[in-house]
Amino acid sequence: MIHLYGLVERDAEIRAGLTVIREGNLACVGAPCADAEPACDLASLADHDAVVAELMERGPVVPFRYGTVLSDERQARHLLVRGAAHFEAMLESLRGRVELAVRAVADPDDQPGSTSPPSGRLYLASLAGGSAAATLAGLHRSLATGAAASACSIDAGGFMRSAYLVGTGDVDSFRALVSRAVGERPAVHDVSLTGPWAPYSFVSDSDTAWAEAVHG
Amino acid sequence: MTPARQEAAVLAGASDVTVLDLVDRLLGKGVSICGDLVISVAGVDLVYLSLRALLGAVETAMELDVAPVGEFR
Repeated sequence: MIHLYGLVERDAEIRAGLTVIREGNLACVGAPCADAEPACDLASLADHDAVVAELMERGPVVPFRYGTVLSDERQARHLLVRGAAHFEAMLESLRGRVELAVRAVADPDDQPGSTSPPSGRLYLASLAGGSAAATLAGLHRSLATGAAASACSIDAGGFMRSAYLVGTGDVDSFRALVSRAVGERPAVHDVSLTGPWAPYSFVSDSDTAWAEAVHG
Repeated sequence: MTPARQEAAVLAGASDVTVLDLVDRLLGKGVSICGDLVISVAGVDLVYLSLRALLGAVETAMELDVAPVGEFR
């Protein structure tokens, strides 16, 4: 069995010790495993991410979800052949980009609706006590201007989880953008920014897509 | 929160949040292959595979109404 890390370009530089299956313009990178259910502990997750991060340093990578196991090389080749066009397009869209993760919390305004939301839906949401969500939606919109793609989830309790696909050369400027955007919103607190990550949030299929409609 | 503290919080990247983001990504994101189903990526059917372990974050597992596999140690 093969535990998969990610998909890369065929000619990507890959260190020794990993299982590499090349087909067409793509390569599947994995490691032999004896168990179809890999260990689910933080150390194993961290080790897995370290391999994916190393691949990302050398070129675009489509990361697999942890625990993705194929029975043999034949299945890996089948995956690469059937999905060639899509994976190649995906790699191209991820070239030179990394993922940054932002979490934030917002308190409701003292006077919900006192600001001037840009849309009718936001106004109604603020009247319904959704001003925290509206604040976070505005924060996300600001941050999204600094990213090639973004995904965001905001719950009614005023908690935001978001991901941004950013050029590797734009990471510092994005961090500055986050600082500015948060500074402009006194109701926002407990903000965290982690990464760069491999673009896990931007390769999921539509059935498991994390991105949700932002309020407003 | 003062602007300076906000900036510090933004740049701090607390280790526990990093762990949370790690778990969210590795168990909840990435290209997924679900057993007994046709693999699809953005609506493109790829290949049928027999059932393999599907590890999911507890939150994801609860959304799918299945028991989580394994425990964090």
